[in-house]
Formats: sequence, structure tokens, C-alpha cells
Amino acid sequence: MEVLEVKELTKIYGSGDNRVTALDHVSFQVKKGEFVAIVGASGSGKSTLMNLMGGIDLPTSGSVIVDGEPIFEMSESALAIFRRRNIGIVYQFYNLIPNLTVDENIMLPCLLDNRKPDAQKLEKIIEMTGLSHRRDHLPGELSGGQQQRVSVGRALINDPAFLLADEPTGNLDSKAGREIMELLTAANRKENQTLILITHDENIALQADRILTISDGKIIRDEVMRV
Amino acid sequence: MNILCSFALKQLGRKKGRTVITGGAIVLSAALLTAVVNLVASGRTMLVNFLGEDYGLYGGAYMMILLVPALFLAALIVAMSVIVISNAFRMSANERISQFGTLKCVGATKKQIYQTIMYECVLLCTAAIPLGILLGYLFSFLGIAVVNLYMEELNVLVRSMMRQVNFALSFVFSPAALLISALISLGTVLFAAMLPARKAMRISALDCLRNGGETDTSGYKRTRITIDATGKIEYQLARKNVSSYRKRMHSAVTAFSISIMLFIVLSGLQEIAGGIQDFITMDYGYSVIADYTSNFKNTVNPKTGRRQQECAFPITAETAEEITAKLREYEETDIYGDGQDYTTYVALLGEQDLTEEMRRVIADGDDAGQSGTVLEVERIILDEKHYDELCAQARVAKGGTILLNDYQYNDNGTERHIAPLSETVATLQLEKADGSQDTVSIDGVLTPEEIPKPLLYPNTNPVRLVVPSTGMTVRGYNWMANPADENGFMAYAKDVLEGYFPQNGLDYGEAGYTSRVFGAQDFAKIMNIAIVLAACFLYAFVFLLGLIGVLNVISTVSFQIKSRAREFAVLQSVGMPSKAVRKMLTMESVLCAGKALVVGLPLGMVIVFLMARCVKMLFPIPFHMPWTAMLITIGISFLVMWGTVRISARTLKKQNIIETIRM
Ligand SMILES: Nc1ncnc2c1ncn2[C@@H]1O[C@H](COP(=O)(O)OP(=O)(O)OP(=O)(O)O)[C@@H](O)[C@H]1O
Ligand SMILES: [Mg+2]
Repeated sequence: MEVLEVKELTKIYGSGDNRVTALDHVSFQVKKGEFVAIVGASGSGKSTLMNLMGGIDLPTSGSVIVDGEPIFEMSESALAIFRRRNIGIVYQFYNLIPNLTVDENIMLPCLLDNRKPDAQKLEKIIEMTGLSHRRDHLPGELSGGQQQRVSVGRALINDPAFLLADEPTGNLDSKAGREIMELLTAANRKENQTLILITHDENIALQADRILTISDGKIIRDEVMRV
Repeated sequence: MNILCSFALKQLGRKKGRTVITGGAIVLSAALLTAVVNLVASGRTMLVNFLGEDYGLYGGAYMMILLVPALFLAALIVAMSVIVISNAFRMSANERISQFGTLKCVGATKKQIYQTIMYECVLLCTAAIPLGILLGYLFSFLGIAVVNLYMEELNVLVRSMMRQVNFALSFVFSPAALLISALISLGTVLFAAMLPARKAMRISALDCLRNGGETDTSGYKRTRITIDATGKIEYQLARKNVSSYRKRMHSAVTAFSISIMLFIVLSGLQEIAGGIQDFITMDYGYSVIADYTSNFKNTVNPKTGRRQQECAFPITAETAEEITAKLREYEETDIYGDGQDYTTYVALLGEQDLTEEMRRVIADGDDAGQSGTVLEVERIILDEKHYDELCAQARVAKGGTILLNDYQYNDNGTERHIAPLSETVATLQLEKADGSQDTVSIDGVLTPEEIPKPLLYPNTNPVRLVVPSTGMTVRGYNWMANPADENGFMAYAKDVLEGYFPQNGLDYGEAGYTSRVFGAQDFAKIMNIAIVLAACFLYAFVFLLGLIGVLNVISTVSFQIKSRAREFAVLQSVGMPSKAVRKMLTMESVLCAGKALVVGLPLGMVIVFLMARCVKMLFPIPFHMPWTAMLITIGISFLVMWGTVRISARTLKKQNIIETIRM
């Protein structure tokens, strides 16, 4: 079953001489529970693709269908609501709300829906992220790796259809990076969480079930590593 | 150019919006300071023209009247400016914190960090202060023009009542005033910039870098508010943010509260002034008043130690009657003549002679002169015609003494009339300051309701007797009339009085007496002009000061929103619609305006209340809080905050989540 379908996705930045085709008719599908790594040279269009899949940018043409729903046909508000329930995003920089505690940051997508997250679910995520002793801390009081774990926790709280991560380890040292990867792969394996990961790091890409290689805005290779 | 200076210049150029706003605040505060200093200089020149170089006898008092409000206003301007300008520099320093970190890493000293902020300030000042001083001169010109507009009217009125005056506020250019304005303005701005510069200087390089572009983290205070799923998330976040960022919003909220407070105080003052004006505007039922007053000295009788009055040129009842007759000749105008003697006698009374109410007033009062049952006596004489009428009204034979049984007093701000003497009193034992006594029989009594209007003037003595005029002399006498041709009558009356009491071109009181002819409403008119003038100035002042405050609110809010762009982008990326983000911001603005109001309104009300209490001790005036002004203030406050947030949030809509997050 496909949780994500990308169809003929094109993104063109600028116009005239400054015209950059960041994505050029990209199409692919992702199945439930798959762990997909997207690799490619710098400037090849990876982040552009991820922003489109996450619904935080609009394409020039083409569509993204999540759980059967074409997301660009929704209004801004509807898309925002859809995003908080169905898509988890992790950026290279941690992007936490500085004046909310760890707990509150993780619960944020639920709270935006005016609902309390399942207590067990929250406990489980806190435990997974290894921040049980830091729950009431503010992001400023955490290390970079810890902050990134909070972002992952926040992305997982609503059991999203898929989790997008753009170089989640890019800003971290190797140990902290490994911890983040363990967190993500654990979610993928234990919870059957669909995972789409953008990375430069070959070792990280090799942990994935499938590797998409992108170059100049086109998918040039789609290798299945394991089934 | 010095590298630090060029950093400062770049920062000013990069943040054009804020540079303009900060510059505007500096211009306004310099302009206000200049205007105040100029006003003092011009006022001083006017006083010197009027009173002579040494200001005459009351010079010190006049100078205080000029200087105390000026100092008060200047202090307000300086306080407001320091709050606002230092806030602007704090924001600028916060933005450059990672730049400071880098500078420190490559070896910049603390002093250099301090200097680069001060350069920013000096650069702004060199442009803004001269501009402000020019604007201040413009304000002064305008202000003086407005004053002179009213001044002529004031002069005409005062001339008719007192003497040949020619008040004119002329614009005075004084190098000293210019220098003082420039120095105070410069000092204020430098001091304001120094506060955040010293703070930035002390942050360690490590902290600067760790914050990595993140601004002042001291704001991210842990708050007691936790967000949960119980209410609207936008509202909860807004509350949390207002609490977290209270330090950053502090200056905006403070400046705002001060503006609110000033506006309330001013409206209250106007209300009080209106009350006083109503109180002193007496309606005697006559349009023109001519009066004569002799100079007098209050002395102490060496024998009895009692207060007495020595009158230089008292007027006899015969002279007064003659003048009355002469004035009546003008187009058969009816003249009401009355004269008072307040000081010759006191009445010695027994407890039983006083009414219950009067005893209570005496017991409550701390008026030392009214101790025990010795009450001051006021003797009133009337022109023959009206004396006869009063006798007829009181059913007394001509030549009788009539008691006006009415005592008016100020009961904590309320004017009360009571009957002081009980009905049983038939004779009064009167005593002079030298101890000699007389007995007077009371032939008729008029209650407060029966007393004719012209005899209901303020500041009466408790025992008021209308006595036959034969053989009386009094300190002063009034002739009141309702002539058909007011101006003609006034000119005629002046001639008549000049014939009896020649002034010989002397000044007010110099001849040993004064006589005047004036319109009954002239006092009120003078008062009114003074109130209007003062209100004009103060409102202009508060408006401009408020403008400085509002500029501060605008720059703080837009800085807040810009510096939190990343936070808003994160909220959007986790699924908060941009509408909800704007709603959250609107709520924050409402909460902030509410905070400013919660401080400013009660503070203003307390000050107004205290002022009203003080004034009520002197004048029995009705007073209520300036509710309309308060409603207007509340409305404007919310509107300003809401508008600022709405406009600043517009930039949010345009900016891309991705770009913000990539930063
Ligand atoms: N806002 C933009 N305006 C114009 N061009 C852009 C914009 N964002 C990205 N691009 C261009 O689109 C192309 C793809 O950019 P993108 O950020 O997707 O690359 P990337 O694969 O994520 O690179 P990296 O690995 O360095 O992060 C680049 O050539 C970039 O210059
Ligand atoms: Mg990228």
C-alpha cells in the first residue's frame, strides 16, 4: 500500500536568467513502512523535494498524494491541519519553540488540535528519545543532539503517515548523529514508521531499504537494498 | 573610517525601518525638550518685562511657577526618552550579538564592542538632534503664536479689571537655551544608549557565539504557564509568549502605561479645572460690576491679642449712596449696591444659640478662628432702595437689623448651606478687637432660601447681619447693574468712580485703594482662556510624548515579530495554519495592551483622585473620574497594539517558511 505518491513534480525557482529548475518531473512512490534515503550532490534538489512532500512549499506543477489525498488541492489551513496529523518533519537545525518545555514541544502537534496526546504514547516517545530526566527543560538548556531528539519526538507524536528528515544529523557530531539514526530506525522497524531521509552520508544511506539518487532535479537511480 | 564606526553605519542602514523610528523618537524628544526650554526663556522675558528685572516682591514665586512645571515636563520627557531610546539600542545590540561574538573571537576588546554601539548612537544623534532642535523651535513659534492669539483677549480683560497690562509672549532666541536643549538631548540619548551598550559589552564571547544569532535569551524564562489541551491553543501560546517575552516587551508596555497615565491625569485635570471654573463663576443676576476696595493691613490688637484690620481709605455709606444715585442716572439703570465689613465684630454666643448642625460643623472644623462659640460677624449695608425692599421682605421696620441665617462651607468638596443660629436668638452680644462690647437686637431673619441672589456670594462669615447704613464705613463696596448699553454704562461708571477715587494713572492699589468696572463674567472668561491655553499645551505635550511611546511600541513589536519569525515558521511547519499564528499574535497584542492598561489606568486614576482631593479642600466642586477619556484611552490602546501587530504580521505572511527555517 502506498502512503506517498509523487507525480511529475516540478519546481522552478526564479525567472528569466535566474531560472533554476530545482525539480524536473520527478515521480516515485513510497510504501507503508518503507525506509527511503534520498541522496544527491549539493544543490541537486533534495531539500526542494522534501519541502514539497511536506507540503510547506508549492510546486510549479505536479502533485503529491498522501494516503490518497492530493495535498496541494487543499486550502492553506486544511493543509496545515493535514500536516500536523499526517506528516512529521525533522530539519537539520532543531527548530524547537524556545519558550516551550521539552514535553510541550513534543506535544505541540497534538495541542494544535486541542487534544491531549495519549499519555502512554507520550511516555513511550519520551523514553525513546531518552529525555525522561529533561522533560521540563527548555530547548536552550539542551545539547544539540538532545534538541534534535526532541524534534524527532515531535515528528512522531501523531503517528504520521511518513516522517521526513532533511539531514537530521548534519549539524551533529558522529555520536549524537548515531543516536538520532538509532531513534529513527527504531521507529521504522518497531513501529513500522515510514521514513524518508535526506542525507549526504553514504553510511547512513546504506541503512535504508531503498535509495533514491537525485541529480539536477531528476531521479537518476532507484535501488532497493532490502525488501 | 573607523571599522567600528562603519559596522554601526551598516547596522543603521540595514535596519532602515527601525533607524527611522529611533531617529524619530530622538527628534521628538529633542524637539519637546527644546520647546520646554524655549518656553521658559520666553516666559522669563515676559516676566521681566512685566515685573522688572528683579521680578519685584514675589519674583521667587513667579520663577517657581515657571520652573517647576518646566522641570516636571522635562523630567517626563527625559524618562520617556530613556525608556524608548535604550530599548531601540537594546534591540539593535541583540541583533548584532553573533557579530559581537565573532568580533570578540578575532580580538575585539570590550571597549570596542561598547564603542560600536555608541557610534551607532552618535551617528543617529548628529542627524536627529539638530533636526529635533529645529522642530522644537517650530513648536515654540507655533505655541507662542497660539498664546498670543488668546493673549490680546486676556489683556483687554485684565486691563479692565486691574491695570494697564500688556502681556505678550515674544519668541526669544537665547544661545543659552539652545545650548541647554542640545546638551540635555544629547545627554539623554547617550545615557539611553549606554545602558544596553554596557550590557552587550559584558556578555562573554562564548555566550555571543552560542546564542548564534539567537537574540537575547534572557527572555526565554521558564514560565509557570503550561500549555495543555484544555483551551484554545492560540490563546495558551499567546499567554505563554507574553509571559516569556515580558522582558523584551517591558519597555513598550512601560512607555505605553506612562502615556495612558498622562492622558488620564490630563483629562482629570481638565475636569477639575472645569469644576473650579463653574464654582467661581457666580451668577448674581447682574452683568456689570463696579467696585471699590481700600487697601488694608491685618494687625494684632496689642491689648487683646486679637486680629484686626486697619483700613487705609474706608468708604462711608453716604459716599456709596451718592455714587449709587449718580450711577442710577445713566439711562435709569437699577443699581444694587452692597458693602461688607468682615472684621470689626465677633459674636459671643451660648451653646443654645447655635443650631445642632452648626455645632457639629464647629466641632469637626479645625478652623482656629472659629473656636468655641465666638463666631465672626459680617455686617452688610445695602443701598437704600434695596435695604427697604429687604426690610419689607423680612417684615422689619426700616432701620432694623436682619440676620441672613445662612452659613456656607466646604464639606470635603461639597458645598453646603446651613442655618447657623437657632430661631430663639433675639439679641447678639458683639465684641470688637479692642474688647469693647455692643448688643444688637435681631429684628428679622431670612433663611437661605429667602436670601436674594446678590447676597449669596462665597466666603461669608457665619453670622451675617444686614444693618442700617447710617454712619457705617466699610472697606469695600460693590455696585451691580444690568444696563441696556453695557459699554456705555461701563464708561460712564468709570468716569463716576474716577471722580470719587482718582487713580491719577497709578497702578493697581498704589493709590491706597482700587476701583474697577468690569463685566460679571470677566473672571470666568480669564479663567476659561487660561484653562483652554493650558489644556492646548498639555494635550499637545501628552500627544507628542504618547507618540514617542507609540513609536516604541511599533518598533518593539515589529522587532519581536521579526526575531520570532523562525518560531512562527516552526509552528507552521508542524501544522499551525498561518491564520492561527496571526490570531495568536493578535491575542498577544491584546494581552500587552491589557497589561499597559492595568498599570496605567489605575495609576492615572489614583493621581487624579489625589489631585481632586487636594482641590476639594479648597473648592467645593463636584468631581467624577474622566470616564469618557478612559474609554477613549482603552480603545486607542487596543487599537494601537492591534494595528501594529497586524501590520507587522503582514511581513510574516509573505515570507516563506522554508527560507526562515533554513536560516
Ligand atoms: N529559494 C530559492 N530560490 C532560487 N533557487 C533556489 C531556491 N532554493 C533552492 N534553489 C536552487 O534549487 C536547487 C536545489 O536546491 P536544494 O536546496 O533543493 O538542494 P539540496 O539538494 O538540498 O542541496 P544541499 O545538499 O546542499 O542541501 C539549487 O540549485 C538551489 O540553488
Ligand atoms: Mg538541502
